[in-house]
Amino acid sequence: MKRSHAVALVALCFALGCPPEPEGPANGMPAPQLGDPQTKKDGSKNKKGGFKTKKGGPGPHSPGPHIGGAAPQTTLGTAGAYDLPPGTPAQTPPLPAGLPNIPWDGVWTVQSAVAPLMSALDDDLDALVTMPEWGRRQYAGPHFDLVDKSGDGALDTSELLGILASTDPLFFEGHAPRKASAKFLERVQEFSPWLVAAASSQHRYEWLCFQRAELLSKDATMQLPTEVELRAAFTLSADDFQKDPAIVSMKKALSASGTKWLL
Amino acid sequence: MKRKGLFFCSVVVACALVLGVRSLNVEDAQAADPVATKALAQNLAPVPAVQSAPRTSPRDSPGTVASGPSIIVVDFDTLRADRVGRTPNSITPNLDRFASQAVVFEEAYSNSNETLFSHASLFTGRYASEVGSLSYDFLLPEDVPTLASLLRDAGYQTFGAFAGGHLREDYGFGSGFQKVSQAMDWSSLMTTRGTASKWLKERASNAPVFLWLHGYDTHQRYLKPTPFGYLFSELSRSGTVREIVSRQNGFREVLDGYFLPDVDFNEAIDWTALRPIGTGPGDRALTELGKSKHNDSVSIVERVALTEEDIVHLRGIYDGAVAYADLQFGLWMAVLEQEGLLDSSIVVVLSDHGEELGERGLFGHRHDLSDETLRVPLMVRPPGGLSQTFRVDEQVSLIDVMPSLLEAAGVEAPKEARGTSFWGAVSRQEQVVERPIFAESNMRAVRVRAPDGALNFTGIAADSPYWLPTVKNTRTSTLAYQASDGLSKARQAELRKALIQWREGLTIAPPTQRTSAPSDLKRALKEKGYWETK
Repeated sequence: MKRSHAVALVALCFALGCPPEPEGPANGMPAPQLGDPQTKKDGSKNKKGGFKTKKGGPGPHSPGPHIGGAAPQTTLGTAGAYDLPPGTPAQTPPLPAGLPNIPWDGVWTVQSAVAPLMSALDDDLDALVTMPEWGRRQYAGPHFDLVDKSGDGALDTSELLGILASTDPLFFEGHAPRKASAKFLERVQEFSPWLVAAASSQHRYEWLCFQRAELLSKDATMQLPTEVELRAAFTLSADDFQKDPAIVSMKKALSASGTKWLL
Repeated sequence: MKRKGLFFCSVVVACALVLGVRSLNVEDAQAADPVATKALAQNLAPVPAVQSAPRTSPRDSPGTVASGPSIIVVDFDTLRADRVGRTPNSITPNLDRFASQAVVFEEAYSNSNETLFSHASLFTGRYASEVGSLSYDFLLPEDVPTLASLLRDAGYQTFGAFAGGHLREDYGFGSGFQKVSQAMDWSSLMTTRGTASKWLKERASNAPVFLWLHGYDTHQRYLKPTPFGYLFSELSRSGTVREIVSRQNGFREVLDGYFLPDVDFNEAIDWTALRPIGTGPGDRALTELGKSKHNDSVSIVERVALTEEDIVHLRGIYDGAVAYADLQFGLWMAVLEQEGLLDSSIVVVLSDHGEELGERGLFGHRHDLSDETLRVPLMVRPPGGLSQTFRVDEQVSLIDVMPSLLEAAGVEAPKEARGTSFWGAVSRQEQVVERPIFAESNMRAVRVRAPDGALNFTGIAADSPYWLPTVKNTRTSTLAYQASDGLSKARQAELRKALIQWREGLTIAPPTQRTSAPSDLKRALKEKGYWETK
């Protein structure tokens, strides 16, 4: 397991144009057609970096022009499902043993950093990360529809980075949706002065979203500000933040539920 | 690649073995990589060494303008060396890219299995027991020169992006940093690289920077947000492994290969006291649990044996955390690229210690001085990067990092520093002198590692005044010693002698320094299992 082997492999891959392009769509399914649910209106499925962007050519996994046939479908990862039931359908692709080598030009960019992950998520190698593919990796993250901001049925790099930037590993527990660590919350309650002092606005926003979700889980009809409204409040100055209607509304709701306000 | 059979009878003898050690073929390397050699010549021109300036107040800059390159250290807490650049099926594409431009130390080892003591060695070039108490009350004294303080005094702008836990100013680790950003405990690089990036963009001058970026991405709890959490493990698996993964302290509730869901380990086991002579984790830990002073309150109702398949699944969760850390690293490198720092900076990648992933039936790093808990990634990318990887197979340790980076900066290392600079390997592709690696911990154990094996001594606190006489009067045939498989009796005796000579050469710090960490922090750390229960 020497690194020299890895480098040799990388060099070989570069020389051969690795990773190899599949000769046709994966899993034996026909290739997707223009106009199918995974294809953008302009038909530009395969873009720079292998994943949908506005410009660019085929990516490393691109099987070529996507014409003819229907998009592969699986039964996993339906929208709105935070978690998956036991028992994986037989047609589920095997887990990646590693992350793929992606040709690299030696320049460090956000796109190049995230390209191997995007490729690993793309189980069927069609250069799109779709809802079912996202669902196979999902445990406590947001709904696919929250990640796919453009609503076009596939993730692009900026969408993935967006969700990663708003998903702090400190704030997730187990397999529950957007649930903050119970232990952590205990500590927040107990040691709030120094913890809150150390918290970034992102931490505070996540805390507020968690509290919102908790309130709604007890009373789904409760009138609360949306996450977008809460997010907007964090762009305000400290004084305006406290007066913002969304924040005032959350304060009242939390006070009524007996939850300490920490912000 | 190892030089079997070549070793030392003592540290001095080990140094004398230089001539017998396989020489790195510099000429061949230069012939194969003229671009790299030229780049090195251009970027690593010798910087005149300057005397260490008198220490100034903690935050002040002496007004000196540094002439050395910027130094940026990326510190992955708890990253196992064997998870980086794994072949086949690497899970670290961004670190692999970095390695392709860097000097890679294949046999790098930490001097402790604990963040607290490991960072003491990283920052001071000395063993933790020399500068403070080998306990969770450790405090790095203000008057001990640190890497940051020496670079600051040489005119560097210094910034620490600390991720909390045991890497925080409360333990004295802010010494020498003009500014420390203290993230919430056990934060990710996601958080700390944000503050580090902000500092880089807003820094006042163009003077070289010394930046320490730290993150707990691969520390327990391993589970990371989608899509990383189950990138390498089946999401659909239920039962015991699912419970372990989902519980806040689930991995710590694995003992001797069993999952014990109903035992409060923090209350039941004083891990630091789990080292009477000849005992330790592994199949004896449950026995220890039974003997615990809390025995009356411990009731093992349920004990679920883990299968090999379970262990593989759990390791996959850790691997997901590694991939997460790797992406954070890639994004950080993009920041450095954007800031135009990569041509003028040394970038170091390291980890403070490793992790057991089911070996000896445990997950964690607090219980053992072993290759799993001590072997770490260590890579150094010189300014501009190399055109291909340069590998060093000789043993080095984290205690060598400080003198190496000081040499790179042209700053004289303090005479108290124990480490030896490996900068020659980075700048001139010189041979590294192989030396024994010593490690210590607060759990009554020390270790010496040679290329052909290791010897552990357990049973008495490493900073105890009774340590030396005890070791001297204990033969290697007793249970207090645990040697690597296949290590001959003669070699064990040599390693025992090396241990004694090592300790005889150290001045153990008086047990007066204690951290000023607030009581609520101590309680929080204790929740994580990082505080003695006694």
